[in-house]
Amino acid sequence: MKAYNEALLKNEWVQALAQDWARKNFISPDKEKAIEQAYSPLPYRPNWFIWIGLFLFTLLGLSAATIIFLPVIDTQFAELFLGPLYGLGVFFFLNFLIKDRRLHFSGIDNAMIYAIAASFAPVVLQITESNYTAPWLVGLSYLPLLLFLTYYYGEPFIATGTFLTALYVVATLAMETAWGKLLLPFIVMIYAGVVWYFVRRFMKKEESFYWQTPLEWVHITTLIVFYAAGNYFVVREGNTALNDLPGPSPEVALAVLFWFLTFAVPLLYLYASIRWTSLTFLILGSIALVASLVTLHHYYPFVSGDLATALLGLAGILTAVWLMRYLKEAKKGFLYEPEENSEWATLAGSIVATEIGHSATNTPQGPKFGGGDFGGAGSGEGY
Amino acid sequence: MNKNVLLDELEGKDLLDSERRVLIEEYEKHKPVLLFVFLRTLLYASISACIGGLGVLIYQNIDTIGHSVLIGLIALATAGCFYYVFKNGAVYRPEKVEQSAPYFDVVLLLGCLLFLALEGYIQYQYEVFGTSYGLAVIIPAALFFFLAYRYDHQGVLSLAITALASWVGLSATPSKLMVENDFSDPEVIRNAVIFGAAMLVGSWFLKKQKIKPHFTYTYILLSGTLYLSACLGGMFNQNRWQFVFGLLLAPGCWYLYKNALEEKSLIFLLLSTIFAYIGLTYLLFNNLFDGMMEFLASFYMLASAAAVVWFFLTYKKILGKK
Repeated sequence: MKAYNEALLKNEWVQALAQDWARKNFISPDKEKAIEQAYSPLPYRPNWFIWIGLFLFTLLGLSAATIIFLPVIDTQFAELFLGPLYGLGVFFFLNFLIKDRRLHFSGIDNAMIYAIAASFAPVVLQITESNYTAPWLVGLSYLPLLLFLTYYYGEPFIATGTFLTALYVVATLAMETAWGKLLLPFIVMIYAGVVWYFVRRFMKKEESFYWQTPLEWVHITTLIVFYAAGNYFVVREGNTALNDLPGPSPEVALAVLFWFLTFAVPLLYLYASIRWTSLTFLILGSIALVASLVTLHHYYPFVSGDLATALLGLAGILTAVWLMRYLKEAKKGFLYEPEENSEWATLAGSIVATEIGHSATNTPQGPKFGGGDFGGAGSGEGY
Repeated sequence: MNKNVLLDELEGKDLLDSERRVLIEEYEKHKPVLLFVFLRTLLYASISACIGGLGVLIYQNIDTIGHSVLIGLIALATAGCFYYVFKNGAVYRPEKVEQSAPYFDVVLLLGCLLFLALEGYIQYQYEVFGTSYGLAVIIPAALFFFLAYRYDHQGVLSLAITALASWVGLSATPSKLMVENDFSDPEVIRNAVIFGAAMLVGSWFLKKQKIKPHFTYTYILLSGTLYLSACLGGMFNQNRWQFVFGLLLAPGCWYLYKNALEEKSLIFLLLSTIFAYIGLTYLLFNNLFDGMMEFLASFYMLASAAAVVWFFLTYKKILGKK
């Protein structure tokens, strides 16, 4: 059972492909029209800015709608059942809207799905808290609802939340024992790796079509978690925080292994990006590599931070320019070619220019030797 | 879903002949991943990291390098950028012009940023402009307006607008809009309203004259939001004048709304709706609902939110636009 009509989603996919083929002159405009006619109607999916507006005002409306509960808010009954009742109401109303207006991730339905997920939180918290106060139990009792919502709606944010909630359950459960605490990085890595493996396998199957977007989101999240769990900085500082050790953080066991992971994982991602021609891996690998270099610099500042930033920037410039030249013609499935001008590009261009200009004009007025508004070592994360 | 399965399906439905199908199958199999956005982002981020790091390094080692050497270097780099731009720029035309020289837009933007840094440095070190700060700001503003129009660069236009805004003591930088403009100060609000209105009217006039009509987008994005924020600021902080600011807000929202449809840039539709909604709701709550039942107010929130959602869903139909 799925909330959205899968045929509509398929129509959307086919029409997008047909448009691309027509643009590349593989099919004539007439054929494109014919395909469009054969594969209609489409689900309603607005422009991004309209999406934001719909989302915000739906949230506003949903909060205002709670006013009908005002007369009974102070009763015992209300504390337990109002949330779920409201959630159920939203659930049925949403399903009606999806059918009636053919919504699909239009901002309206996203907001309503989040509202459903949130409306059950108080009752779950209350039940678990009155019986047993283990953090993993709270997460665990929330999981069925999240799994159901993920399955039923295939909403990407909820899917990612489900993955992270399960991660929370695994991690808090592990921390109940001394061994689990010690092996926590590996447990998290194994969890992320296993989920990644199954997500990737499922994505290749026909049946995964309905969940394409959430699968992509979870795919990205598993990779981020996998890298972060093995990162030396995360392990060392996490170890200090979890054991309430006084700062500065002490060296961890198996430090060499974690240093190895810190650099091996980004390189692995970059290798995977070439192997599978994957932009996701390329972006994640690049960001992870920069994060790893920042980690290295954090513990072994062999050069000053500013010199390191400048050198990193220089390396980035050289890499970018070299790749722009190298990929003028498609190589290994990658190509550097101007894409269609989108409104986002103009918007980003205008905003970025003023932001950089702002810091450029500010520098001289600041303290004489402490300037540099461009944001020192951290700016590398802006990739 | 497997694309080959779809191609079979299309062929079966006579929507695709077998010849084309083979071509498309081949194309889909070898379709390259486009790295344009990725590499551009990498380049911009690296440039700002590099310049940022170098900037601090220079500040720290100023005693060994010497001011005049440094100023000379920056001036040289600035001149180099502008030389490249002047030499390679395409001829001026009032419509949108695509520059063909490689990295043209990056070099132009870099030259402008270096110019800003250079000017600031000279002023800081030698105080060439003395206390006439206005002059120090209006020079880059004028230069950037010229360069933006001459070489068709919306990023440089944004710099020009922000420079001009700071000339009247305002910050038009989006992230600093609410932080650096003190909207409780009546003078700031007055300046922002006049400045914003002047820029919007100017952009409307230039668009009418068909001089770089696509620049309207940048004008509205920067000065439109400044104008509308100032109207709301005035409404919140100057109780006596709240209806006047409401009256000023309305044409601003209308102008954004009108352009959203003409430019097909729906961010203006979103902005104008949000600003209008906040203004209207504030006026209603501050005057009508004051002291009245909470219930009525909540009912208003529910009904108005539903109305806005309905508006977003049907704006195309209302305006008869596809």
